[in-house]
Order: sequence, then C-alpha cells, then structure tokens
Amino acid sequence: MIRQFLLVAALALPVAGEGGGTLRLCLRSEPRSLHPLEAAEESSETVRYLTAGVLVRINRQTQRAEPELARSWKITDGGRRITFQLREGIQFSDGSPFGAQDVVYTFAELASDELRSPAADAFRTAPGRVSAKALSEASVTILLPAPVAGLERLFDAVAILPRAGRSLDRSVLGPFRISQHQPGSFILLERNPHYWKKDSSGRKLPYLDAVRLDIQQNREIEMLRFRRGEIHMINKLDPELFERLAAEEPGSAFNAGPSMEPEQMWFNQANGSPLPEYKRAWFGSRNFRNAISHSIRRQDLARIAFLGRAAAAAGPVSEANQYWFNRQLKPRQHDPKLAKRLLVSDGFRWQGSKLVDRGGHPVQFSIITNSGNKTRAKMAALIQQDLGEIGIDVRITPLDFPSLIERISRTFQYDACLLGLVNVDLDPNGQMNVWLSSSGNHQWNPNQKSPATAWEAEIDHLMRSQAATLDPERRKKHFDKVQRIVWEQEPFLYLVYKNALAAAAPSLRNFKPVAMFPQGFWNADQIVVSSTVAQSRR
Amino acid sequence: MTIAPLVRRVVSLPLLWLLAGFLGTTLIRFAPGFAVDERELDARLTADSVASIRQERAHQTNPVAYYLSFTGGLLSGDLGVSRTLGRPVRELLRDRIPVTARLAGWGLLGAWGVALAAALAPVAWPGYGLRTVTSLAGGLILSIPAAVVALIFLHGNWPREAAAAVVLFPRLHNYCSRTIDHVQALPHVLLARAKGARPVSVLLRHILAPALPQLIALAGVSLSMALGVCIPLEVLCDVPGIGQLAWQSAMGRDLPVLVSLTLLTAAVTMTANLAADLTLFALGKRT
Repeated sequence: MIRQFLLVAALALPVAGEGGGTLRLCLRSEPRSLHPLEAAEESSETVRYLTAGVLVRINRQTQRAEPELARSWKITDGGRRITFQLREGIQFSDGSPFGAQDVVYTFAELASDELRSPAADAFRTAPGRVSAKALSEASVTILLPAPVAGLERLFDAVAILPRAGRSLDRSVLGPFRISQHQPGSFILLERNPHYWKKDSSGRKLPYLDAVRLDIQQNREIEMLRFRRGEIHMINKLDPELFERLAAEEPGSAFNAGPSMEPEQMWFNQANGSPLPEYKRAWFGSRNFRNAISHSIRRQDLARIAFLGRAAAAAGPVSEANQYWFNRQLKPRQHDPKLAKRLLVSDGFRWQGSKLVDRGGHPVQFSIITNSGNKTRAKMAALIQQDLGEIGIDVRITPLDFPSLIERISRTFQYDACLLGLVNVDLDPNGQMNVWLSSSGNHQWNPNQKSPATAWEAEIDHLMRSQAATLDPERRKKHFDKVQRIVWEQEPFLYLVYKNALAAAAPSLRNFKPVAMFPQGFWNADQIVVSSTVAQSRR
Repeated sequence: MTIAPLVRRVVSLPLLWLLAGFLGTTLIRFAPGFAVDERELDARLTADSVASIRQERAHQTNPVAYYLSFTGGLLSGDLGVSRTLGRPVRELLRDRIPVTARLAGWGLLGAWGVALAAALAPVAWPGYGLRTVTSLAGGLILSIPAAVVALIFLHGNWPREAAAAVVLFPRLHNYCSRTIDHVQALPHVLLARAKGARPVSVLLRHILAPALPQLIALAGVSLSMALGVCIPLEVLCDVPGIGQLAWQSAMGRDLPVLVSLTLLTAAVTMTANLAADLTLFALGKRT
C-alpha cells in the first residue's frame, strides 16, 4: 500500500519538481581536445557545449542570439567593436567569481598565434588581432581587426575561461563540469553546483546530476544499448535505425525535420587536375551540370536511400535555417527530356544508347565517395542508375576518407565526388571559405588566383559585400543572390537534406530535438531523467 | 645440441625489431592519403590554419629522418603524439594495453583449453566418433568470420573474451589435432597400444610428451593470432584496446601510433617465439 502510494506520488511530480538522474548518451569518437577553445570536431564541441559558459548563446529553437553571461551588448565602430555588460554575481564551478578579467584573459588566449581552431579563426577576418579590454568589473569591450557582420553570433562558440592560475577542468561556467575521463571509454560530467541559471519557478538548473558520455563508434551498438536502456538518447540517427526504432517503439523515435546537412555532388573543375581536356570541357559546362542535375531523381534518393527521412535539396542552405534560406528556390525536378535538350545544345549525341560528346568520346565518369557509409553508397547506386538512363556510364569508387581528401584537395585525380559538407554555422560568413574562389575549400576549383568564371567573380563580390554590411536585410539580399547563382550554375549539385533524427527514452523529460547542433541536448540544463519511468521500462 | 644458433637469434632480434619498425614507417608513409588531415575540409578554418595543419605533418614526410627521430625519442620513452587523438602515444598504449591483454589472455586461455581437450579427447576415448564431432565443430566455427562472431556476441551481450576464444579455438584445434594425430601414428605409440597400455596412459606418456615441442612453438605463434583477432573484435564491439587503436590509427594514417604499434606487436611476437625456443632449448628438444 505504502509502495503504491509512493509510486503514484512520484508520477504526479511536476517536471520542475523532479531532479537528479544521470543522462547517458554516446560520443562517436574520442574528443580530440578537451580545451574548449581548441574544440573543432563534434565530440569536443559536445563537451564544450555542456561545460562551457558563453557570453551569447544562439537559441537552437528560435535561432536567435540571446544574452547568456552577458546581460546585453552593443556593436559600434561599424561592426569592429562590441561592448558587453556582464551579469553580476556569477561564479565559476569552483566558487570563484566571474568578471571582465576572465573575458579579457579568454580573448588573449583566443588571439594566440598557436591556436588553430574554428572559434579562433572566426575572429581572424583581417590582418591584426582581436583584443579585449575591461571597462569595469562588469563591462568589457572587444575590438576586432575588421568589421564582422553578425558579430554577436561568433560568441556562441567562445567558452569563457577562468583567468590565469585557475584550473580549467574545475572552473567552468556551463551547466556541467568534467568529473572523470577514461580515455577511449567515457567522460563523466557532474552538475556545476554554482551554475547561474534558474528555471521559471526559481529552482536552480541543471536538473540532472550528471551526464555520462560513453565513447561508442559503432552505431549498431549504440542502438543496441539504447534498446537495453543503457543510454537515454541518440543524436543523428541513421534512417535505417530510425525506421527500426519507429516500428518497435514509436514513442522513442523523433524526427526534427530537415537538418543543416546536405548531400551533394560536384564535378572536378580544378585548374591543375590531370583530367583530359574533353572531360574538363564537360564538367566546366553549365548545361552539362544542369543536365546531370535534371537526370537525378532527388525524390527517389530521399525515398530509397533515406527511407523517406530526407528532403530534396535546392541549394546550399537548408530550409531548417530559418532566416537565410532562399525560399524562392525549388529543388530541380527529374526531367530527362530537358536534360537531353541541354546535352544536345552542348554538342552531345547518342550512339545507340550511349551518350558521346562532340569529339566522339563516350560520356563516362567515376564518382568517388567515402567508403563505409551505407546511405551514401545507396545514393551513388541510384545516381548511377538515373544517369544510365540517359546513356552516361558512371562508375562508383568508394575510398577511405584520407584517400578521398587527398584526391579532392591535393592530386585532383577524380571526376566527380559525392559527399556531405556540413554547414555548422547558420550565418553565411560560416560558408565564406566555400564560396570565395581563392579558398582551399572552394571544392570544385580551389585556390584560384583570380575567379575562373564571371559567375564565380560575382559570388566573390556578393559574399564580400554581405560580410561588409551590418544591415541584415541587405546581407540577406546578397546571400539570396549567391544561392540563386549556385542554383543556376550548380558547381555543387545539392541532392537532399537528411532529416535530424533522434531517439529518446521514455524516461526523458523536456526532450525537444532541433535541427541545429547539438540537436537532442541543446537544452541539457533542463532535461530530466525520470527514474520512475526508467525503472518501469526496464 | 649447440647454443650458438640460439645466441645468434637473440642477438639478431633487436635488429629485426628495428627493421620491422622501419618497414612499418615506410609503408604508412607511402599509403594513399598519408599527408592529409580531415580538418582541412573544415570550412570554418582560415587558409593560414589549414597551412599550419599541413605543416604539422611536414616532419613525417621523409621516412628515414622520421624513423631516426622516432627511435631517438624511443630511447627516452617518448613515442610522440597521436595526431588523430591528440594525446601522447605512451599514454594511449598505457591505457589500452591492459584492455587488450585481458581480452587476448582470456581468449587464449579459453581457446587453448577447449582446443587441447577437443584434440586429446578422441585419443583418450577412441571409438565414440569424437574426432568427427570436434573436426566438424572446428570447421564450422572456422568458416564463420571473426566479425560475425563479434556481432553475435555483441547482440547476445556475452563476454568479448569468450568471443576471442571462439575465434581462436578452431585455428588452434586444427594445429593441435594434426600434431596429436601425427604423433599418434608414430611406431612407439602403436607399440604401446599393441602392448595393451591404457588409452589415458598412452596419451600422457607416449603422445603428449613428444607433441610438447610443437605445442610450445604453437603457443608462441598463438599470441600473434590473438592480437590479430583482437582487431575486429575490439572494433566491432567498441572495446577500447590496442586493436581498436590500430584500426583508428590506420584510418587516420597516424604515423606515431602505427609505428609504435608495429614495434609493440613485433616485440610481443618475437618475445613469445623466443620464449618458446628457450623453453624447447631448456627441455633439450629443439628441432
């Protein structure tokens, strides 16, 4: 009787009244660095997200910048200077006070020449260094070498460090701090007892006692452990595993819609590539690229390769990016007749069922992709089949990742590549190195001394213009035009945006997955693991 | 019997060991994709940062120069820093060797126990068709790839050590039973049987003793087999041991880790084989 009463009482507790519990989830690799300023890959960034305090946080649901450790900010000097008013009374996890000197120290570290990370490079927009100066104990001003549009958003990735002389491991400002690290096995984060945030009822956050991050590379095992109740959450679930879970435990499978991660294909147009002239002519032709694009059934890629858990892509920005997505662009439709017309206009013709070019060369090329990715392998096979229908002979060459990178960035010994290049940043400035023709990440033709084509010159101009103006509407106009040019010219053939799929145990409360990193635990300080539900599940 | 060949072998071992490390270095250096780093594809990094990342590997491009500097560091216990995991290789090995040692050790123990029992049981109790049963079982398990065994144990949530034993068993059983069968056919065994010696006595006195040198040699080789088996098991079952490290490092062309692992594996194999030879020498039965 007493036990029954206790059970009913436990279930009746409101979310805010619950507390404690250890959230268990997996990292897909060992973090390369636990230093928050060095974080560059997903595992390190996950630890940083959960442990670090930042001045400004991008709300993952609204995608807007919100005050965090900074109460407010003001951008002046045409976008070169930002002055923060800091919250007062905040303490690091070791109980020491947080103040302007910590911010100054952080930016001195960030400006170090030895530091090579995305967080540091975001401030290296021009020659010169970023510098910070404390105006008072609760006010700090940061000066950049050149104006940056959308400046406040950069601070979402800058973890505030404790001033010199204090332990980086023990002094954090985020909801959790590292308590134990068993390399190759797990990282245990414990609740920061001095975390400054409170919920609407005045209760201190985070609710969780701890977060255990198990290092688990194998996704099948991750799912197996989820089913056994050993972990509570899976981020970035494969469509196949998602479908299986949705069939078995529909309440545990979550689909947050299209993610920010496109699957794309491009042809090698690199100046120094060893390709024969006729192939360079094919790949350099807009008609050829558009024809290939119109021959691919994007809907089938989404339906078959991703089991319906993806959306056909129109361009470099996902519809999940609420502000920057150009809504006028639509994915190219499968239209083999149009594809053939475009090819004929470029002098291609058919010999029997085979397509040949003006010089009689059969149209044949290989697509390299990374091995070990089942979904991408399926996509490649479907593309091969689609292009076969218009007489193009496609060969698929899966390569391990280092070999693939070598080919697309050093030797340029490839015809076409199928890959997913992730957009981590919502802001177009995050894509600057992809679109500028002089950049090494301008994959189809990197490191150009001067733009090879007029449309690349126009993209260069538009990207620089949007970065130089602080007016969001003008920036949007410029970047919309970039998206339009990319849609027309198709240096990248955007194929699909896979959905942000996640799994969550019924014992999780306040689980609200989003498309943006870190998807399932963006609100980790408000997540609750209900022990009552967890026990009944087991 | 002379000790000279054994001394020559002991003396040549360090040279062989160093040569193995150098060959490993050269192979890795010339593997496709050696000079690249995944971080180069990160569009958030500036050209200077990408250049700096590329520069990190510049000192590894000449295999001779690199190996000389590596062996110099080796003398002071410095094995370099893993480029994929960003940690000192010495720390990585220190954390992971016990994990693999436990997996391989228990796996070997289990596999040897079962393989010996399966090879000897038909001798001790002839006429029950035990040889057929054990051979069929060994053949059947041998036909299952190690990766499949790993997955079965993973889904069953059974101990990984048992999986290692299952994978190793048929390989050891094959050699053990062939050795036992060979000795069994020798004239002195036939004579003992003709004289009416009991099967257990024949087994212990006339079969096991002459088979011991081959079995000891096999014990040395089985250690290398176990290390090989650990790679798929650790990768598929996510066991943070040396096998998993080897796989990750190979995927990332992580030269310091791979050279260290090559030297470690060579050292283990050579030591095991040397120990087997010394044991045989001590027994006075070196073939």
